[in-house]
Amino acid sequence: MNQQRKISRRALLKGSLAAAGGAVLAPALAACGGEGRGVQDGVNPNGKIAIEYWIGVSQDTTTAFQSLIDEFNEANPNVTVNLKSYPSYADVAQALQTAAAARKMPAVVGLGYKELRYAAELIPHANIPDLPGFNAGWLEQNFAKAILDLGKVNGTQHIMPFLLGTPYLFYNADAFEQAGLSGPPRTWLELRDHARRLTDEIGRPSFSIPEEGYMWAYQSFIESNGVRLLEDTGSGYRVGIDGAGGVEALQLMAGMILEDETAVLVDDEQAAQSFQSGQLPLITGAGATVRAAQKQGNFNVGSAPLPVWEGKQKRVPVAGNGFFVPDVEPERQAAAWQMIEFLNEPETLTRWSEATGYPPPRSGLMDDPQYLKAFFDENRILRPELEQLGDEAVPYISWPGENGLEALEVLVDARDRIITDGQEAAPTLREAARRAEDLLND
Amino acid sequence: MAKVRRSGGPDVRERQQQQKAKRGRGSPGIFALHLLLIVLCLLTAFPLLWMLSSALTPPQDLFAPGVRLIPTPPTLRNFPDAFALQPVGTWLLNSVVVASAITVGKLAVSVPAAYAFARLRFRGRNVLFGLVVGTMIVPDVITIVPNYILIADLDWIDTPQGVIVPMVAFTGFYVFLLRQAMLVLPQELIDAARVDGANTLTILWRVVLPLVRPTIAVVAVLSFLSAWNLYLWPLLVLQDAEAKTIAVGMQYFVGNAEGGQEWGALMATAALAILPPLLLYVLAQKAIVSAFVESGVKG
Amino acid sequence: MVATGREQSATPTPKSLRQATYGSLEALSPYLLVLPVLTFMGLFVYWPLVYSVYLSTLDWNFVSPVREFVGLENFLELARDEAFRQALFNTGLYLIVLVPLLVLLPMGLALLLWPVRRSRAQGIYRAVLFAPTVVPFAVAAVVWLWIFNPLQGILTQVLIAAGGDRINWLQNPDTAFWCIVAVAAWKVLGFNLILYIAALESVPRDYLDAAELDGAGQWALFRYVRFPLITPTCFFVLVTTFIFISDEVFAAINVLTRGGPFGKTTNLLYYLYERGFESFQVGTASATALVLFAAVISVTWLQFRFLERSVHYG
Repeated sequence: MNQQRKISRRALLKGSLAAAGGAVLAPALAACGGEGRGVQDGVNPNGKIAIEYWIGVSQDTTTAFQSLIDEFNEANPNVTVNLKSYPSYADVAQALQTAAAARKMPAVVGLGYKELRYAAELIPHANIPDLPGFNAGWLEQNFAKAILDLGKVNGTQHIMPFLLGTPYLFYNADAFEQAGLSGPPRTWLELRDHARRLTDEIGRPSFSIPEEGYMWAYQSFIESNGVRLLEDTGSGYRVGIDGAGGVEALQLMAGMILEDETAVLVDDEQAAQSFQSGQLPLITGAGATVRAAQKQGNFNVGSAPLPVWEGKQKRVPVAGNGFFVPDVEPERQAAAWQMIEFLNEPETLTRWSEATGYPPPRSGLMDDPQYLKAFFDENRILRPELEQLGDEAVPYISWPGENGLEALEVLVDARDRIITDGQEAAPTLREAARRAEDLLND
Repeated sequence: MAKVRRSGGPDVRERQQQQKAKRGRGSPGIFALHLLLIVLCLLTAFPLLWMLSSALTPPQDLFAPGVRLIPTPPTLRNFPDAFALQPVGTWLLNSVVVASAITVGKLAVSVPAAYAFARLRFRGRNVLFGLVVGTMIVPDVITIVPNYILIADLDWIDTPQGVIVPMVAFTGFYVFLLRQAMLVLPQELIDAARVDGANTLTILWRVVLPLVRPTIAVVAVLSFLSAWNLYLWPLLVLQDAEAKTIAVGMQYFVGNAEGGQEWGALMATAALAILPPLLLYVLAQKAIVSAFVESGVKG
Repeated sequence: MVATGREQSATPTPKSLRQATYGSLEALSPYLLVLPVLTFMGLFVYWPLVYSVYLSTLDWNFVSPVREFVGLENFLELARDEAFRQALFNTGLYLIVLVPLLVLLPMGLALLLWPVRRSRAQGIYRAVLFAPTVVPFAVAAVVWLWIFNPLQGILTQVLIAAGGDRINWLQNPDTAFWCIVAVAAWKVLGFNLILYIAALESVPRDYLDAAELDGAGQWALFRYVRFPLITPTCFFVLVTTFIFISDEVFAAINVLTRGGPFGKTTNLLYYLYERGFESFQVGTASATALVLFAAVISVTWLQFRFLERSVHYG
């Protein structure tokens, strides 16, 4: 593989002529270099294997990962896993891209579901069922289909889901009480009323879906109203945000931001901070925020599932990351699978959930008194996430192809035109949907 | 031009006041001018003061309602927190290494070239000088895709040289400054050395360098500052946590969609990141101005 | 760039036999002296520009072994892309707003500082006004985010205390652009200020004295003595500001708005970055780089063509 890289370097420096030669030579050289390539990289002569595991999660979650990995290393003397941490999923994807170009990929990556299609298409990797040591029965027995689906494209398991996160509602129970509200809103229309009363009470905007350049809680907000942001029809992609449900949802949000002045658009960090310091009583967000707010203890923290649209099936996108195994030596892939199995042991998952608050990917543990029942009973604030992982859970959209992000950007732009600039929802969405389709089907 | 006139207006008045001020200090005009400048300075400095004060504020008070510039009581807790969470010390060290190496590299290639362009006559001089100062108008982002491919192919991702080597090339401005300084040296000194049999390198090293030392110092300070502040390029090249410079390492504290930010540690790290360049500037600011005065920045 | 100062001859006449033996090496030495800098620039500035021409004809993602040749398709795609047109338009808008602001405002400030140049406070003013220039942008931006925060930002608090409306500065399509302008200006202003202060100090005292003896007023002093003498600095500031702001505006966009809301704050550099390093489209990113380069070249050429004439070299 190194040979191939040298060829391509020369190609870069000397131009396309050498590139043509390299393309001819590379397969031949790669074939010769097949044997023993594992020795130089990762496998010691004494049979001990060292692999890298890349993640891009928050500080607290990284710490939790590290202690589980330490346990694994102790229990498995033949393998050493080195955890390498990046600031975000996007950084992991970018580093993986570079590593793939240089053919120096890690043995296992905690890849965001958002990046699923991109990685499945572009990064050489092993599908989960092809891993050395893989056990199909074990997988099907212990993991719900809805969970496994998060890592699939067209039925192929590219990612083995691990970290699961859904957006849910957090509220400042003290502020609710002062505004005379008895509990969290059940529907989005109720939420608008709640926000009005809260704003009347505190004299500033009281609600935020804190998203700028992407759609997560927005995916639920829009899709739960009977439309689909992205559908693969088999003959092409269809973008349905301009359906009646999408128009209604964004009109509601525009009304809250621009007319009622009860909602405000800020980024995640600022919203979380404003919530924790008691400035913003109602937000959507991920579990880490609500736990941080509870820890700070400035007020009584409440949580609830995301609201529904009356009479319609709610959909909640599950974000997070799962194990993705690039195309490396079989020995390292086997070691990766060994680690994956360890992290999915009921005991390990119990420690994982207790440390991070995230639901375990494996079925049955949440209600098992031997494992996590006590923890989730005690931390009722985390319950809404568990509830949403049932029938309502859908994959967090992974935008396909090299224009995927551009298509998402077109939709986000359209959303922002409506909710920050008051442009008319129906035509704006219609135009954006067609443009996004053009990009995706290009 | 309207703008000039407007800002020229107060100047005229103030200067008349100043004439009087020479006789009687503390006239109302000068007082008003100071007041105006103080307000301007406060506005400019506010973001930095706020950051420094935040670094000394306990994290749970950071976002409490209201604005306080002076934390009560101040705490140093954020600093050990930052060092415990992330390799902040390594980041600082990386920044020092990267910024110093870029500075040395830029000086090493700029000084000889500036001398040749200033004092030697050779065929193609104007064209070559044009090529050198021409790089001043190329924003480095334009070259970022090809340079990234090159660095990746050289296997220099996550290495200091991956950041350093390409950045040395963006030195057109410094060649220009150094050349301006060398243009005004008295020819007699150089002639005298030549009569003594000194060759070009000896003259450069023994005669010219000592004379332009102030400008070299300024170029060193400016290029160190700009290298310390590099953002996009190290962001792309340095992907490993241990390899980051302080300016890009800070992302680790900002968190992501998952939440869990560490604002106290972030502010402490930010304060550490701005102190070295600020100190360096305060020490060097007189020299910077006088170097610009002497070299007479001219197009 | 016009060469100023005296033209020197290294060896006007052969001085001695001994020197002549060095002749050939000495004749080469200028080239050896400029070789290192030209090598670096060739490899990392000029070659990338040439290589971009090749990359701009490809459909490639950094990774795939296949680099498909698509000819001018990437440029046509840019022409069709509304986001690109918006980025191009905004780039022009940033220049139109920021260049005059950053050329003229620091000049005014430098003149303001002049009367107090003997006072000890002046050093402090200068240091404070220059400080933003030396601070890493990524660091400063974190603070700016909170200044612009619509719920509890200082700007919002002041505005509401003064009876104004709450504004979501970075999300409002009417204000976001001006936030980027303000932050970029804050960052670059100090550097230009120092250049002007240096220029004013290099105006010979006798010129001013002579003019004052002739009874020139303060405005006349500025208009007919100072201003002509600092025009080279103005021109220099103009040309360099043009370059600086592209970098600083990029950094501001990247940390504060990511080009939003709906592309209102994006510019060509940010567009290039998104194409190249978020969507991994090497071809369109390189095509954007070339368009940007062409724009930079032509604007710089225009500056020289029309403004340099009015520059007075002392």
